[in-house]
Amino acid sequence: MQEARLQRLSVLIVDDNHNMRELVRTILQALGVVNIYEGRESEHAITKIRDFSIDLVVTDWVMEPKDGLDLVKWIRTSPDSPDNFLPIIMVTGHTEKARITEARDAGINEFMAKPISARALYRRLVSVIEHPRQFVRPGSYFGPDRRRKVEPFAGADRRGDDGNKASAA
Amino acid sequence: MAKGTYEVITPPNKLKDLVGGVTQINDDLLAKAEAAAQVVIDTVDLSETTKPQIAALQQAVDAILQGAERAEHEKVIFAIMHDLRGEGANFGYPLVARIAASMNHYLDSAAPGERARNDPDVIRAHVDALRGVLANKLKGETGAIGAQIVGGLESISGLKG
Repeated sequence: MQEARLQRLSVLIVDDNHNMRELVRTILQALGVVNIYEGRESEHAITKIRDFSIDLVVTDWVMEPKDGLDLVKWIRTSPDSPDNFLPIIMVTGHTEKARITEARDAGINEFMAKPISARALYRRLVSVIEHPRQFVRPGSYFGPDRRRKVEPFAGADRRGDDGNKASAA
Repeated sequence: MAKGTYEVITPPNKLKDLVGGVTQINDDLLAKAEAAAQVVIDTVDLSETTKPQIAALQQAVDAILQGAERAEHEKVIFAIMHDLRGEGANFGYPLVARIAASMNHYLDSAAPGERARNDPDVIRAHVDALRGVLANKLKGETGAIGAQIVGGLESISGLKG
C-alpha cells in the first residue's frame, strides 16, 4: 500500500494561515503521512525543527515576523540547524519569475504555486524522494543544485566566483 | 575554498531510506487525497474566516486616508492581500484572488521607499471591492458584473492593460 510507504515520514507544515495548514495537512494525511507538525511562522517552525525529528518541510513564504525565506536560510546555513540538507517545498502565492528565482537561490528543493492541489503536492513529494538534487556550495550559495539537469554548457560558468569555468572541489 | 571552485555534495537520501522502494504517483491514492482536499475546500467559508483580515485591511486603509505614514500600513495590506490571493484561489473565490493580485501588483510596482506615491483611493477601491465580494459571498465565476469590477481594478493597478 502506498499509504504505508509514506507513514514513516515526519513533515512540518509552516503557514500563518490556518485554512492553508488544514488543507496541506489533510492532503498529506490522505497520502498516508502520519507524523505531521505545524508551525505558525518561521520562529515557531525553528522550535519544532529543534524539538522533533523532521524529515521534510512544507513552508509558506509570506509570514510575519520572519518569513519562509528566513526559515530556508536558517535551515541551510545556521550552525544550530540539525540538518542543512533538510528537503524544503515552498508553497506560495508568488508566481512572478523573479520571486521563484529568489526562492530557488535561498535553497529550496521544490516550488509550488497556490492554489494548492493534491496532485501538485503529491508530485513534489515524489520528486524530493525520488529525484533529490545534489547540493552545491559555489561562493556564498549553499543549497540544492539550481540546475535540474547536467548538460553540456557553452557559456561562462557562474558557479565559479570569478565567472570562469569552475572545477568541482 | 579557492576562487573559481565549487563544492558538490551528494547528501544521503533520508526520505528514500525511510520510505523504501520506488515512490511514484498512485492514482487511487491521488483520488483519495483530492477527495479529502475537496471536503476541506467545501467546508471553509472565507466570508467568515477572513473577517479579521478584512478588519485589519480597513484599519490600514483608514490610517492611510487619515494621513498616517504609509509604508508600514501598505506593508500590512500587501501581506494580507498576499494571503487572500492564495486563499481566494484555493477556497472558491477567484474574484478575491484577482482583486488581491491586482492590489499587490500595484503596491509592488513601487520600490519600498517610494510607496508613498501610491494613490490611497486605488488602495481603498481594492479593499472596498474585496469586502463587497466576501460580504455577498460571490463565490466562483460571478458573471459580467464581477468581471467588469475586477477588470476595472486590474486596469487601474496596471496588472492588465
